[in-house]
Amino acid sequence: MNNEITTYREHEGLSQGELAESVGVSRQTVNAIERDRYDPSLELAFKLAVYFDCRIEDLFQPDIEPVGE
Amino acid sequence: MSEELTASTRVEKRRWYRTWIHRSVGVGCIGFFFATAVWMFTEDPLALYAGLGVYWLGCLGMGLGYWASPVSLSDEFEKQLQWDATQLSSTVIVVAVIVGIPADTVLSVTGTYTAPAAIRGAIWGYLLLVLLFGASHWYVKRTYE
Repeated sequence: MNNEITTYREHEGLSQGELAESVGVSRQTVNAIERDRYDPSLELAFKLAVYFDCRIEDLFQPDIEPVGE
Repeated sequence: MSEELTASTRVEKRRWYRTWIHRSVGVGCIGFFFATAVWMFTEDPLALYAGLGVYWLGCLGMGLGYWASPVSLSDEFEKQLQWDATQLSSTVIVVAVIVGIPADTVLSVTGTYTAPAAIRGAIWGYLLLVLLFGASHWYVKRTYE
C-alpha cells in the first residue's frame, strides 16, 4: 500500500522516532510503514490521520482489487 | 483512579516494563551462571541452590512485568514480526512431523534404520507441539464466537 507518511512527517519537521512516540509505536514501525514493508492497522492509520489532521485516504493509497462488480 | 493513557505514555510504559523484564531476566541468568561458576570452584551445592533461586526470582520478575504492564509490550509491527516468525517455525515443525513420523515409524519397524534418540525425540516432540497448537486454536476460536 502506497503512503505519504514520509511527506507529511517531513513537512512537520519530525523524525521517525518523534512521530512514532506521538502515535504510540516504535521507530521501526514507522520506518517499515514508510518503506511500504508493513501496512498499519486501522487503529494506527486513524491515529496517523488524526495526528496529521487529514483523511486516511490522504495518507494511504491502497492497491486493492475491484470490489462489488 | 486509573491514569489516562496517551500514545506517548503508552510508549514510555512499554519501554519501562520492557527494561524491567530484560533486567529481571538478565539478573536471573547472570546469577545462575555466577552461582554455577562458584559451585565449580567450591563444589558447594548451596551455591547451585542459590543460583537457581536467583534464576527463579528473575523469572518471577519477568512474569510480574508482563502481568503488571498496563500496555502491550509489543507494538503492532513487532507482533507482525512475531507472527511471521511463528508461521515460519510452524511450517518447519509441521513438515518435520509430516515427513518424519511416518518415515521414523516405517524405518524403525522394518529395522532398516533407527534414528538417534535425540532426532526421534525431537520429531515426536514436534507432534506434541502440533497437537498443542490444535488445542490452542480450538480454544482461541471459541473466544471469538
